[in-house]
Amino acid sequence: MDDMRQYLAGHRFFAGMSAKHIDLLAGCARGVRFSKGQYLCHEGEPANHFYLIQEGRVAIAAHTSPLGEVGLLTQAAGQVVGADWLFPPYRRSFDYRALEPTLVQEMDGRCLRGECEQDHELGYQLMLRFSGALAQLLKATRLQLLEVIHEHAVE
Amino acid sequence: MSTRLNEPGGEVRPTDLAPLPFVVRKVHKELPGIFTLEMEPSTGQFNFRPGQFNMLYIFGNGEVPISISGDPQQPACLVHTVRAVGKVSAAICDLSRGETLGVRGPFGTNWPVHEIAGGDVVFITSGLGLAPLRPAIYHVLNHREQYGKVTLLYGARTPDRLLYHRQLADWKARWDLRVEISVGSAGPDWGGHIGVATSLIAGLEIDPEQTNALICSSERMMKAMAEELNLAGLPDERIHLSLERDMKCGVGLCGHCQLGPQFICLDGPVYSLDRVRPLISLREL
Repeated sequence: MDDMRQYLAGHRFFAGMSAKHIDLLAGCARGVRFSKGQYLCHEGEPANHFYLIQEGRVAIAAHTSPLGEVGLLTQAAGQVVGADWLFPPYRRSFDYRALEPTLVQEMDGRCLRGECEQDHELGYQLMLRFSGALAQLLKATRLQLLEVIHEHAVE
Repeated sequence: MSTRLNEPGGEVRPTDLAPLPFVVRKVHKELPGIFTLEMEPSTGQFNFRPGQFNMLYIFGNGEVPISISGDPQQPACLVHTVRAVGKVSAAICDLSRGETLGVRGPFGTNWPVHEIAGGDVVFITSGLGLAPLRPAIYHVLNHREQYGKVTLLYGARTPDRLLYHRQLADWKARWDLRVEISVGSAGPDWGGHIGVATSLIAGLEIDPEQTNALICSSERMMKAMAEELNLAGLPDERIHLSLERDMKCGVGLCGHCQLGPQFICLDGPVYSLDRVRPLISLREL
């Protein structure tokens, strides 16, 4: 527990959070290892966790016909994946697959949703961090979209 | 060094306005619609500085500005990588071995490869932007002992859209060059990074006092790259970029490539960001 508390307190995603909230988060976390190619979760499944990647890399992918699996983004150690836990209908929008042996801290989203309802300061602090991460992802996605548009325009 | 024709003392080289015939020695299809041509100068040698461009002329058809993408240490072979987007560039891509095209140049400013010697270098590019940057990469690798850490960050839409993919594999195998590649999307057999090219910058450890970044991509993407580099502590004067405009004369006369007070063909295409940041932020320019 102390190790987990220390890890979360030092994680840049939680930088600035109170010791009380770090303690609470530590109580909702557990380390999980995934081997290369193993899925953390699949599209459509209940989204009851989010993941802090401690070691390794995770691909966020979608299955499309006829292409099969299409990787859309990779996230590496230090990054957080799986924001679906925070928003209804709490279902995974994509597959998450370990690209190499990967260690994540799996955070219990169901537990945290309840805690956020009780403690709005915790909810605000988490929402602040997830909305920042999502805004960055949205910006990156729009840049990718612009690149596609740009390439199509000159083709 | 090019000079303005409309300034006192401005000189015109014979090759500034009259194309010289070059013979195509090799045409290599890089990607669909993108070809690399190796040409033999009629003068025997063609010297240029990394970052400069030529006006390539298909006789009776027209002329287009194309960055030089070959090795500056190989002046007997002029190399251009061309995307077929209009009638002239398509005609260039249709050329075969032994055919001739006209070349005016070289024009414009260069990547500051001498000025940045002694420090770390980060090349950041995406798509076809690797072509104008390649002569600077050649230069740095040809003089590797003069530089600190050298990194190439390259982004493409998909793994099969990576330009110079064999060369990228060779560069990746070098111990003295870090190469990170990102693609926009990929199938399950791709084990590398997926995401926009700018996302690679966050993974770098940049010493802002020691590092210069040379970037080449679409203007919007370069702004995003510069933003990430600024966040990493790199000031605008250490960020160098190549701008693209509609170059016609190549010597700062016609004004087609004008960007505010700058003629890109003459004052550019390579600038440090602090010189052009106010200009590239203006919508109407």
